[in-house]
Amino acid sequence: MEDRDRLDWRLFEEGDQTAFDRIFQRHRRHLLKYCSYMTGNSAVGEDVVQETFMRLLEQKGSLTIRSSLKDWLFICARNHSLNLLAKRRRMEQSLPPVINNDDCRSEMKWLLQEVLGKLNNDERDLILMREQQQYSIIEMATLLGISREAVRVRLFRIRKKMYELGKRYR
Amino acid sequence: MKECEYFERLISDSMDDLLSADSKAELVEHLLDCERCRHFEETLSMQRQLLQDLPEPVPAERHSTRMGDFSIERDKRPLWKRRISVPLPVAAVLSIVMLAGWLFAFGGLSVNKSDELRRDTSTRAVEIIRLAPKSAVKIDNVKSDSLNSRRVI
Repeated sequence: MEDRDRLDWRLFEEGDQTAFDRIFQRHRRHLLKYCSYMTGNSAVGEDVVQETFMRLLEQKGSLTIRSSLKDWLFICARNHSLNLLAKRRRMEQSLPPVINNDDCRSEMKWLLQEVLGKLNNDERDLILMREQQQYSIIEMATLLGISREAVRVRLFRIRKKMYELGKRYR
Repeated sequence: MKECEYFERLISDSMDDLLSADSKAELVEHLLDCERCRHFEETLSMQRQLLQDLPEPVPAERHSTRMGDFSIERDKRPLWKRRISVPLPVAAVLSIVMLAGWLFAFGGLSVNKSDELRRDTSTRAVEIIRLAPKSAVKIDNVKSDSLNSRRVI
């Protein structure tokens, strides 16, 4: 995927507009999933993803991809989501992160979303990165700029908290 | 209990592939004996699976309408325990209607009272006026009768 991203980005910079569409289609889904569950609203999630790709467009001719385009897009979307959530906290508006869907009607998934809603933003961010986006501990440590040990300890605490919350909801 | 906390950490680490072979064996052995840790391990594995299987978000419009349907389904609290949220325009209209009602009830009543008083005084006056000539006539009649009688006498 990384090679295809690099190739498409180079083609886009050379003037191939369809190459950007390919990048968009390749990364839109996983970014939308993260942003929607992170912000608790699919509409806000869509806005964040749009904003992320707008920023990518603005980087035409000046972007240097250090690790991968996927990581660049993810970090951009993540920062934007966290900024929005911080603003919302300042405005004292709470929004439980619940996304509804046909498939979501099973009791367990409903419960899980309730539990996600009870986590704070950092905790939700970390667990979504690990379990949903399936970043490894090493990748997470690199992206977040913290030690592996810190990621490991924080993940344990979050899992334990989710376990306790799950017991309470039952 | 303290021992279980240690194994809970190992369970979490095993999910991140951070365990050595020895620690893995130690954990497996403990899980065979400890039901509490087995439950912890099963729950965490299930949570991971569910997080990975969480559905893709639906478009905004469908999401909002379905959220409405779903919230109705979920809300099993008795009616008196539910929070009633009234939209702002509805609340504004209701308050205007209540204010108008209040004004009509109290403000309007005072006007009616004065009207009634006026009506009362005016009817009394009319009655007095109406009665006055009759009595006067009666008096006149009595006077004329008495005069007549005097004349007769």
